[in-house]
Amino acid sequence: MEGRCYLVTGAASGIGRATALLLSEMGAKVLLADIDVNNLERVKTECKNEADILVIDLMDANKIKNLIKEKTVSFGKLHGFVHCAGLPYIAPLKVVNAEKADRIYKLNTYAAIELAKVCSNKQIYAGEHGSFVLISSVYGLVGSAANVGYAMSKGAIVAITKSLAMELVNSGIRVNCVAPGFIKTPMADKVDGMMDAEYYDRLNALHPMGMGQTEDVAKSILFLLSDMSSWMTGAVLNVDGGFTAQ
Amino acid sequence: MAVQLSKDYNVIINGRDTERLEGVRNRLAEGNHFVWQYDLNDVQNIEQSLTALITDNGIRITHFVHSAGFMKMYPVKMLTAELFNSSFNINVVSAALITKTLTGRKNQKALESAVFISSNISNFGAKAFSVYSSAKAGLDGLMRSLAVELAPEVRVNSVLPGGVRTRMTEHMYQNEELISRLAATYPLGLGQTCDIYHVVRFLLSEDARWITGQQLTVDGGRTVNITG
Repeated sequence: MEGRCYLVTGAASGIGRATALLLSEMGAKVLLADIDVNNLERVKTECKNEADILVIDLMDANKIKNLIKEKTVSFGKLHGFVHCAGLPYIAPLKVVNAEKADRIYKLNTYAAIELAKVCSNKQIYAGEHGSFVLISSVYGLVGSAANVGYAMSKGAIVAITKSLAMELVNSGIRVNCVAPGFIKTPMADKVDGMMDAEYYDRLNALHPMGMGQTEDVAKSILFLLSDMSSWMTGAVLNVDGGFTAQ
Repeated sequence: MAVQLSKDYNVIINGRDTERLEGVRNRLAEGNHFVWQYDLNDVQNIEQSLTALITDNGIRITHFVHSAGFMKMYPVKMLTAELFNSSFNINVVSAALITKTLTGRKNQKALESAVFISSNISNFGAKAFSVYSSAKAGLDGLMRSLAVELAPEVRVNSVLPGGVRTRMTEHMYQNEELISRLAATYPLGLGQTCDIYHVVRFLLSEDARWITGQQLTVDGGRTVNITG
């Protein structure tokens, strides 16, 4: 991955952090984007290769283009991005509300479209080896109770992946997505607080190989960004310890 | 696939045709490789034959790639029980029995990862493809159940290629009109064997440690494309 430049959103923690560190270890330059400046700085110091940070609120779609454009002037043009930033939304139907659902949609879903728009722009795209990776979820593919807001945001990612794949193929950019199962991340910890031990055991049992780690997902993202997957576009790669095979 | 994998693994190559197997054997990188000449259509003796290879040579097999198959088009009126028998034997039954042998005591239960070569038609339909597509769909059904049953010791996944130029498909490539019509439906163009090899290699490796029971489509966007 030497000579390649990637934007990683949600890079301050979880899957985003693991992906940024792996890309860096493989020789890529990474632009670490997140709203959490303190952890961003920490991840930057952990990177093995050149890295820079971009403090950004991805819910504010109108600012995404200019912030990235300004940054890439000094950082260099991008070969692709990974959109790992996301929020959970566990709520029974009767308490789901439009305001919260809209925030989830803006960050988990629409930001992916805006990032694809910006990163395929000629002023920002490096012009070769283009690959965008979006993060869906097994909960975008299968049903679970009290999850309608999150499922909406992640199910849409699958459709976005396929449509973008077709639209950007002539620009030489591949678009694929990873759909992880349940992984121990800070986002999951936020959910953990809302779950009892019995629910947790049930969740664990849903994964024939047990629950996963952030590195498991990062390695699949690296695979999709790299030329190893050069004949794959519009694909959904489930990294879920067998969750969706059952 | 075998030639590429032989750079990092000792390989056992299986096929029916001794001469062609020897041709591949000569292209393998340096290593402790074996030839298993066996017709997978003869499903009755697969376990016995493979077990003999393992015990006679004192080896243990840790990875398994099932690429055997044949693609011929048969309209409904040409369907026979024999066609389905041989298609299912070569694609599905042999994959199951080889996996059974490699997870058995004689192989010291050494199998870690298996990759089945399915096809992107597995989840779709096409005229005159009933023999081929039903066997590939069967193979993917087998893959999912094996993945769940054998977890967490063994991972089992499928790769679903689109149109790739191989000996099996060479006859199609002789028809220029057909190939240009086909290529137009592939956003990234038609594939090469190395496109499939890289994905198989990834799934076999520890990098795919938490991936099991999955169909991974590698078809240059063919099955995503509904552009008119």
